[in-house]
Amino acid sequence: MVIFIILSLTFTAAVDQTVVPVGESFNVSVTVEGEDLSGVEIPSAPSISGIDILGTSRSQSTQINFINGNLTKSTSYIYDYQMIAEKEGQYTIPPFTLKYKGKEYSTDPIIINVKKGVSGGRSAPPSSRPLNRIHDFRNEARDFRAIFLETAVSKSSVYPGEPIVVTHYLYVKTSLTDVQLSGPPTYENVWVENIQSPTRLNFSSATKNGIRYQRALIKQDLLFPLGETDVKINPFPVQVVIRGDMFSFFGERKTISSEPKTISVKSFPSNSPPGFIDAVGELEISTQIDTLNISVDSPFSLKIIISGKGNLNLLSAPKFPESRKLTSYPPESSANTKISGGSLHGARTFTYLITPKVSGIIEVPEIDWTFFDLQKKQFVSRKIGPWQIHARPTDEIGTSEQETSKSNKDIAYILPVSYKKVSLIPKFFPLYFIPAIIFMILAVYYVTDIRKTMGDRRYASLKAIPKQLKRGFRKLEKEIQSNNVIQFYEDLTLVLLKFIKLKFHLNVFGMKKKELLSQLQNKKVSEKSLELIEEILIKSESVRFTSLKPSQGEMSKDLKNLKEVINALH
Amino acid sequence: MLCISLLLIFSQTQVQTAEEYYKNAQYEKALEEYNTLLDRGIRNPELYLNIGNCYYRLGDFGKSLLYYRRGWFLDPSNENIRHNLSLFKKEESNPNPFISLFSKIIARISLRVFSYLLIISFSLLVVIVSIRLIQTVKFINFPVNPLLILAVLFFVFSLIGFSIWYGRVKSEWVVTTATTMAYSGPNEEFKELMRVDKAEEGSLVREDSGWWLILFRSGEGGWIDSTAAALVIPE
Repeated sequence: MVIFIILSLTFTAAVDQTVVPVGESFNVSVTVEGEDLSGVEIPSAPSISGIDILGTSRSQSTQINFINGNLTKSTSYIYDYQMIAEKEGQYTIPPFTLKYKGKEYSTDPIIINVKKGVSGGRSAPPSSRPLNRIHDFRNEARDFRAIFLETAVSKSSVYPGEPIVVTHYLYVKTSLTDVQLSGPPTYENVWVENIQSPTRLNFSSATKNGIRYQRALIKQDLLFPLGETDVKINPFPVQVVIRGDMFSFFGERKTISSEPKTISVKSFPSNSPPGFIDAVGELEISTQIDTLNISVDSPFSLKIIISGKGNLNLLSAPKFPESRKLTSYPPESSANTKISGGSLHGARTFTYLITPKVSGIIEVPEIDWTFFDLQKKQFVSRKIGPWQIHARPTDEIGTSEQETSKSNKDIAYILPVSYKKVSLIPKFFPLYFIPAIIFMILAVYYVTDIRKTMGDRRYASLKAIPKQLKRGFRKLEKEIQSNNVIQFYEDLTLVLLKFIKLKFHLNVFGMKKKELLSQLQNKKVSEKSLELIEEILIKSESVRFTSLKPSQGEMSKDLKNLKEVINALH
Repeated sequence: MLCISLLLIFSQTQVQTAEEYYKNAQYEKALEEYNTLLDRGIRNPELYLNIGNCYYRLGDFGKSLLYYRRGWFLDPSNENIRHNLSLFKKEESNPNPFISLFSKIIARISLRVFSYLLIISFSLLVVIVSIRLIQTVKFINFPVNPLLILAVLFFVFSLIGFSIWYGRVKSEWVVTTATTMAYSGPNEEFKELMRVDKAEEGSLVREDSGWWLILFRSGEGGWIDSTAAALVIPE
């Protein structure tokens, strides 16, 4: 990596030694440095109690760097104030001030210690005190300590996820022709966000331990500790080429490295809430749900937006609670963040696709989310949701507009309320069956009674048969003897029908012959008996309605047939 | 009589007030008024529907479903209640058209109506059987047999409908009114089985020191804190 070096306007003050023997002079160099120094006035020196200014001198230098085809020019006015302290003690040299183009510049105060019998903490021996500043730089560049790397950290102890700004500076007191980084700085147990990696080094004067250097930022990162393991910043090697002189024309190549550093990571306060995963900072949570009316098996999206200042790019997605009515898929994540003021700002969005498994009103469950507030040093919990969605059955998809609007209909409006008390089952429900049961009992009783009565009658009639038969047979025999043919056959029919009526409880009188025979057949009367009955009935009709005159022998035979039938049936 | 008249006038005013509150989207106040009517012993499908609507508007869907169900038990043919219930769960139809039709008919007749149908069909059956019995001993010119078949069918239909609805009442139908966790035993020390959302329906199997073992419609079951659920038909 090749870095181009430029210089810009600066106003600094530096001493050649910070510990000065009593009565010995020391030099305060005030440098005005920039590309255009026209019209610059002499900086006004502050009055310092206990220190006398012996004299002032001014020198000028111009520095031109031509590195990889890039030309940079810088002019410096150096005002050397020779001072002396007559008494022992600690002195503060107040800021020098300079007005230039309407702006006022001032240097940092410098502290010096004046002691008896010590040799001064000079950055260079008094004999080589600079008259020509460029020349002085070149001499000092031979000293490796004149070029070094410093790693500055914003915090020395942090919580997991708390941001740390790490800045790598290059300090020089000489001219460089090239600066090459072998790679980015390396860290352990951290998430790294790049703040700046300048392609052109921008040197400016900086005082370190009261000594003036040219300083350039070569890399700045924002670190977020992962977990509770200490963060390690490894040595950062940089290769530099120091401008050569008459003895070393091509310059001197050196590799310098920063000191390793460790930043301790503290544990969170115990008993972190269940909704805490890894969010740290000053954050807020909001949600967006695209629709509350969806069909079953069609996905809808729930966006959870975490915004503010914190470890946004490291955040794990809030856990979506399990639901038997919903299927949720792993969320997609997007971030819109920027680094400013040593923090990561912006928003992180997690988009969950959720599908209803069943129809009806479904509750999308509440989500618990907790972050660690770095300002309050405590956990802060937030609840989002719940949401109610209306999942329509899939068979409603593609229906007519009217049907769709019906399915999307709101709840029915309230109805006028009456004052009646409607019960689930009528009062005294079993009692309503009692009339029917009573009716049935009465019917059964009635039928039983009738049957009993009928049984008595049948018994009585069966009992009466023999007497009536005897009487009938006697009469028929008399009519055979008197040869009263017509009367005989009329009585023969009468006896037969009366017997059938008593025996079978059939209303035989008025019944046709065929019907009578059919009824008797139903009563399981034998075929032979039926034939005899038919024969008797036909013969009786023939005698009564024709000129047929049977003999007494035939009449006796018919009487015999009648008795045979009655015997068979009785 | 005077007391009843005064009570009716007072109740009427209260209903009007509740309706006004509802129209002005003051659902909590409307709910208070309707609950007062409940406290006074008034129970009817319209009142339950309105209470359910108030809870719906307030976003308490568990209680909303609970009151819709209570109204549905009293009058399952009420179209407004049916519509609101369909927002929670659509009625599933059987693929067999005969069973589907039969189920639809039964689903629209309340237990109360089935009770009356059972009384009527039983009485009719008894009368027809009695006539048929009498006909064995006495001639009555009446077409008993076809009517007997119809009466038997009518009675069987009423009996099935009554049994189904009575079974629902006796099953101790439960609606969850809060999101809770179901455990494998009757306290929180047992294993967590599943999350139970508001407005889930199931039947109460057993009770143990403030915990209910509930069998949910999905076929899953678990013990939940009884404060997170309510019986549709209170004891």
